[in-house]
Amino acid sequence: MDNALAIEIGRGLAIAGAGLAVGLGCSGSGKGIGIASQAVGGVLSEKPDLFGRLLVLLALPGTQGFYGFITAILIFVRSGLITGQMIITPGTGLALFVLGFGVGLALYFSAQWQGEASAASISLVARRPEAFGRSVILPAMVETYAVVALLVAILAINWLTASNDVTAFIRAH
Amino acid sequence: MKALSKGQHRWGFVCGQISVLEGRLMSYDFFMNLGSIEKSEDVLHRLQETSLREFMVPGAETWEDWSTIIDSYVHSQIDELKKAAPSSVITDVFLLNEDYVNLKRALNGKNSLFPKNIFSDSRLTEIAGGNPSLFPEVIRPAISTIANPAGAQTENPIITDIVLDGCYLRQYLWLISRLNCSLLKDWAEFRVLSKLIVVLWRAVKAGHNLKIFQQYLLPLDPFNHLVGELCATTELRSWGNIIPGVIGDIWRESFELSEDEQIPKFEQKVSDFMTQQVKQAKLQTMGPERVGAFCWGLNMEAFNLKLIVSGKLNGLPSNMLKDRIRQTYV
Repeated sequence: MDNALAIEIGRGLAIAGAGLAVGLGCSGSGKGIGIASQAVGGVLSEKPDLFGRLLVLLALPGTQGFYGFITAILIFVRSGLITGQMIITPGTGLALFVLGFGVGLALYFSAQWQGEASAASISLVARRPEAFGRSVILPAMVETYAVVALLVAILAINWLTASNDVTAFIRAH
Repeated sequence: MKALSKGQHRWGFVCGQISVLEGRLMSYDFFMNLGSIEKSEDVLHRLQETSLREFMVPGAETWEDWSTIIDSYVHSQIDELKKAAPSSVITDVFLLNEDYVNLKRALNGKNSLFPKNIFSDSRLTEIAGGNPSLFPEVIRPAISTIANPAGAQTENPIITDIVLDGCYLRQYLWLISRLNCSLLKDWAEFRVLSKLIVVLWRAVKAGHNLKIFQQYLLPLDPFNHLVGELCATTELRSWGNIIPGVIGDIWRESFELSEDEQIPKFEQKVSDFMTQQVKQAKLQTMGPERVGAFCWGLNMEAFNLKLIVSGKLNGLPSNMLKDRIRQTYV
């Protein structure tokens, strides 16, 4: 395969992976917050003084969007897109694509389920405001798995792109 | 808990409201304590500490005053939920009885008693003129048999009552079927069956011919066959072999009680069972079943309030009242 074409394919796959990570993460967060905000709206129409507490529960599903953003930025930085030294082999590009897709899926579904968990906690706080401390733990448990996905993304991007420089690539070909 | 119906996220707002409103419902223990209070003034004073307070009017003393207060309390809450809900079907189910009171009054040339819900002013005006064409297809043929020009007396008031009862139950089932929610469907069928049994039971006790009921109450799918069998059986005791499931067990249990206690206890046990059944919806964060369950809870609260207020105003003994208090949603 032509070197330039191989680099082009690798670059395309890596960018697509980054796009999926941020796209799915943000979509999931939007949906999760949407679910929770419906419940918040209903509770606030009866008890406006609970706004401060409910805002915390409402914001929790929003973190997945940021995790997707971090994953995408890491792929851009480590693949050399930002510095202009972008040398990605097709194999590494494919790995980054699959990684971005997998992380994106984890973020999408965890944000959605976290939205559901937040809505349940919002109902709990509406009935028993004193249970706020415990109610935050429920959606935070879902957050754990979004954090795990982010950690895997950070480590895998670092490992995959560790030998990613121009000379190594040219020598290999 | 697994979602009991589809599209539950659309119900998020109204269910958020319900989460707050549930906290304001009165508990079973509260009603038991209320039933223990001897003086009626103390009971009314105690009610001022509840969410009923904002509907109270100065100088409310008679049963009619309190009945109106309690009806407004229930109606306003269900009406508020109706405005917030993505579909008004479930709240309409709980406001339907008020519509039928208005309809009956319109058929007798009287003004509406309750605020309009499903049956608008124009529909009631039309029915008062003997024209049922604006009514839903599901009840129109039956309504047309009793629609008369304004103020005209119907030939047989019992038949009018039976036809309206049948229409009410038919429309009730029809509304619930539009929700596509199995919990509410099972619950509504249970309620309709219990209502049918009570109507027929009262008719037997009053010495009416059940064939009239079979003729004017039906069709009520899926109970047509059962009603036919009950109407064909003259011996009340053998109803126990005809009525199926839990409701049959409750009927047999109630039938063993003294004559005066049978129907009230049957109604109480059925409503307690239904409250228990509908409590499953509390485990749902969102969905129409949550709204339906809350509205049922509100109805039970209204029943208990009316029972205690009327009992205290009429000087009934505490034990008798406490024995009839129904299970509450909270």
